[in-house]
Amino acid sequence: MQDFKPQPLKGVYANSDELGRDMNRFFLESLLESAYNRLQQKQEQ
Amino acid sequence: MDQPFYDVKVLEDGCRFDFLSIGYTATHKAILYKETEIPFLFSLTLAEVQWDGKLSTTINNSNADVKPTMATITKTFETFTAANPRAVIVFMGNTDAKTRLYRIAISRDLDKLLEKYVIWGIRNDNGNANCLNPISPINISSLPADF
Repeated sequence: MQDFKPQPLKGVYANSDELGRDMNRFFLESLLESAYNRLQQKQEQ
Repeated sequence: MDQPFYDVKVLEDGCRFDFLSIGYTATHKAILYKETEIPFLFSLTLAEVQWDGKLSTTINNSNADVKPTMATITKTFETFTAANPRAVIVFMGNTDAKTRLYRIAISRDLDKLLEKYVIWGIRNDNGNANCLNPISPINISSLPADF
């Protein structure tokens, strides 16, 4: 299995909607990373 | 939580709080709450407002006003959750330094925060975020630096 890593934030945004969308994507990918790593740990045990 | 905090301007139906950060320089900053695709789950972001109105999460001007900035964010928790009592708020640093800073800020006021909020954290061992855990005064001391 390859590591799952969230894509980094874009960094500069035209408005708060655009920033919010990118931040939400980053959070959800980070949660997925957490779940993915936990699953990988269980498989290795 | 008893630190001095900045006055904020409430914008965008109570989802954005702008303030002037005053340290080495005066910097326009914004605290944003944005609902995710999961109902009641909101992301929290601290951004800098650039001269042209654009928002940046990458500028680090080390303005030497971490404590009032963190206290201001905590105040907006109260305002936002009073208006949105079912909200679950998630946040994390987009750099290791910011994540560590947020961890320190939470640790400092953990007892008082736990009187009002349920707090969960993602542990990060060896660069791998690997589990979501409830935070208590007992187990926060065992968290690694990248909490």
